[in-house]
Amino acid sequence: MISDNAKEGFDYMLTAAVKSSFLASPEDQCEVRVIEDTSEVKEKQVVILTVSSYLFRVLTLIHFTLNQPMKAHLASINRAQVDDMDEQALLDVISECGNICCGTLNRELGKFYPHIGMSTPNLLDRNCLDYLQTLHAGYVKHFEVRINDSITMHASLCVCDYADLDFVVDKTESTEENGELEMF
Amino acid sequence: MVVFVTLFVTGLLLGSAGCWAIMSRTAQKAEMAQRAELEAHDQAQQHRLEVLQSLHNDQQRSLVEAQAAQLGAQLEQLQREHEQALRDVMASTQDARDRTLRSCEVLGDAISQLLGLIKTFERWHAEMNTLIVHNREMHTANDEFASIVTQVIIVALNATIEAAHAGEHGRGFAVVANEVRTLANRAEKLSKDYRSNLYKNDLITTATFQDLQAGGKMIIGAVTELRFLNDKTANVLSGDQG
Repeated sequence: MISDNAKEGFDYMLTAAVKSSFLASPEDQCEVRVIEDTSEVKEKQVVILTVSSYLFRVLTLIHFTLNQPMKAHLASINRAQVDDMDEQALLDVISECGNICCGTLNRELGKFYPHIGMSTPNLLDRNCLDYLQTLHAGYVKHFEVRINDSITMHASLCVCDYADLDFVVDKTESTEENGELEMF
Repeated sequence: MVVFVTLFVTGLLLGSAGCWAIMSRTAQKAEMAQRAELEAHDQAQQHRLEVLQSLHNDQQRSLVEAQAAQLGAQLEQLQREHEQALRDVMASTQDARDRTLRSCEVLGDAISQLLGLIKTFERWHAEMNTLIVHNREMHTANDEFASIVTQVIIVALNATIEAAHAGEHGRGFAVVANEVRTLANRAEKLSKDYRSNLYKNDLITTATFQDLQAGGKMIIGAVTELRFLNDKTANVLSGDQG
């Protein structure tokens, strides 16, 4: 069973991780809010990553569509021009952003569960999201992510628990200052 | 008479005085003799005391020396026993350290072999990529199948229309066209179900693989930490030995 504190902690950690992973510059603004209705999620593709321990696994899903604003933002993150980047290069950038995001989550969870590991990212079709319940998750949450009021994407958190999970996140600590990454 | 008495008294007095003097001198002599005797006795006692004291001191010294010699012997014995015990403990410690070092070497070899698990995870990764490519091919094939089914539905619809235009002569053809459309509709449903299952399969396969991959990294991390601790233990033991 996942305690309310742990659920709150997962939400907080993912929100902080997303806010620190998808920005091209310190001036960029990123807002994250919880959504209840997954029909709002209309993006076409998903970057998926997993943090696992013998007590749980946490799947992080970043939903996106490679439209023009998103392409421009990803190119900006990569310090490159959009025209210089093909689709695979753009997908690599968003996969790396997802990797940084999940790496931050992994590091924060490591404070409570020292023995954990993280996967490499994979790309899936958005339609896969409809079958998230087949993973028998104990906790699923969806978030809307807005960057500079011009780019909208979504993130999903899916926690499968195999033991009682209970921890309290110290919200006075900043996760943004940590830059350690798990590279793939 | 008076003279006689006087002489007598005088004589008596003188005699008494003489006697007293004689007696007094005799008493003085006796007292002096007694005092001398007492002094001599005292001196003899003193001398005896000194002799006895000296004798006592000699005996005490001998006793102390004898005890000291005994204690010294006991001390030497104890020291020998302690040295032997220390040698035994040191030998035992050395033996334990040697055995621990050998265990560290064995554990180190086992850990190194265990870290070969990385190759297994790499193999899983490669196989996972093969699965993903395979799923993608099935998606493509199913999309093509769905497209064909859509075409068949259109063709069946057209055939039904053409059969209607043919009137009575087209009645049999209309039955066949209707049957084909029914089959095409079933094929379309099947294709949609298959498509859904492919997406479900994508998610389950990917999530399972990622769980294996992340779990593998967790194991590698734990084993690496174990190797670090083992190396540290071996280094400390080797340092102690040096």
